[in-house]
Amino acid sequence: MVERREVQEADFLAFVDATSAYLARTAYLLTGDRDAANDLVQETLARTFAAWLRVRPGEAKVYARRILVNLNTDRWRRRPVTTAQWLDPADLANAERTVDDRDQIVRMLASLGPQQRRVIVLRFFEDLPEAEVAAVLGISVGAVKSTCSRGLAHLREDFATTREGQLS
Amino acid sequence: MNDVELRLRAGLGSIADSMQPDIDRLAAVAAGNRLRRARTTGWVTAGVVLATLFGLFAWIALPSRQVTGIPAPAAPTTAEAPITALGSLSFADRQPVPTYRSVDFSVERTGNRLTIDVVASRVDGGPPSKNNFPDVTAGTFWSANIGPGLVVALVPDRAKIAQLPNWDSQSLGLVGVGATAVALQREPGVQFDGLVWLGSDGIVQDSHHIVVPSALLKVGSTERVVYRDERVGVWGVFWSEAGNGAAMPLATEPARSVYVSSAGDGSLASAIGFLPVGGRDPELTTRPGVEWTSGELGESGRVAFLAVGAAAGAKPLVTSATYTDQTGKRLTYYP
Repeated sequence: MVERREVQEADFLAFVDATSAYLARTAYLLTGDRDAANDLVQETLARTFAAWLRVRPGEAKVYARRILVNLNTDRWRRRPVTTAQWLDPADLANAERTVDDRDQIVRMLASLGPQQRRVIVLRFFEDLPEAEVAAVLGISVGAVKSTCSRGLAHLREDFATTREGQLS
Repeated sequence: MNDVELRLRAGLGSIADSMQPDIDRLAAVAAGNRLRRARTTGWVTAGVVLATLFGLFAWIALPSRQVTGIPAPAAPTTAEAPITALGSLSFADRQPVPTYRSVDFSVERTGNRLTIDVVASRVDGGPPSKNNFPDVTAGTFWSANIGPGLVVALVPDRAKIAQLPNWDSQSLGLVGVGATAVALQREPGVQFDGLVWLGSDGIVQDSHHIVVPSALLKVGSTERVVYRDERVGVWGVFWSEAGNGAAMPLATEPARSVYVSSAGDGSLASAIGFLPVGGRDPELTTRPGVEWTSGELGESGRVAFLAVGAAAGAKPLVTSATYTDQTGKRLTYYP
């Protein structure tokens, strides 16, 4: 029994090593905050390990991602009303990049609604098909399409506004 | 792919790459073990009695509702041979008239993989919604939104499903595949925040993969499993009689006072109450003939009480509740 538990733990730790960076990147895009992202990943990994016996080896990453997205949704519902802080000192120190696409996208991502942000991150960072986004978020494919469409329209307006501003 | 999408993909990757994880691997293992132990403890303390009561009840009582189930073909002799279970959930005679009249499930299990076919028939005679979901993992919660305001789900157990506020739900145990089929139709504008169910092991769980804090409270022959689910945003009761109990939104519950909700069921009336966060050692004053008990909901620190008495009479079952608050002060609340 002890040996079996040790094997499970070893398997799980290997999984953590292989996926924590991926989970952290997704968590950061979802939360906009490095500390919150790390907390989210820590909790996700604990819950994943609690269910480790039930999780099929090839599906652990998908399972963990779903836990992470759900926990983030819960976190967002419980949050005090604040604006996500995306730009940290490390970003700002890189003066050459403060006016490039990256920072523009950072600002615009923070302006999206939480569900729009989740859909945009899963579609364009995770590169998941619409049906899989729907499954992860527990909503319909139609809702994914409409949310994504609204989010993109919002971003498109922001891009356009920025360009007009630059031209003037 | 347009310009915005291209810039998004490139930009998101660049932003994400700047994030370095700061994870304590062993702390994750330790926390996971604590979660496991909490579930095991809950099972040991509540499961022995409840498995008998609710397991027996679940198999006998659930099919007696207005939904119908068709037993699966005889179980095959090998573990990998497919087993198919069929179930039909009806929303007939509802007011207001819902969008969908019925939802039919066909679930095929091969080993631990499920293939789920769901057909939802509309009240207005329009074309039905036909959906196929291959390669679903058996033994896990699964759900999908397959039409306007219609959510279907499989709960990995023979379970009682909580009747969520503003959702009309139907459920049916699927013989042979070890799951309960659920269909929910919502009122306009209501968001699906998850499902809560009482498993045949007596444990309340939800679709966020957590064990929900709950307590089995008994007064005479009246038994209630009381729970509070912060994630789904409901509190409620499952009872041992037929039916799936009742659930109320937590949003309507006052945070700083004792909350009491009363309901009459035939000759008996019952009241469920919660002490505020940190409240303990309740003492109730009741109308004559009322009996009550209390208990803590798992390890949540929230204390609930159940009072039961004759349904006759206009006076509330519980006239006051005295408890010790977080600071050690005794307080009395008059519902």
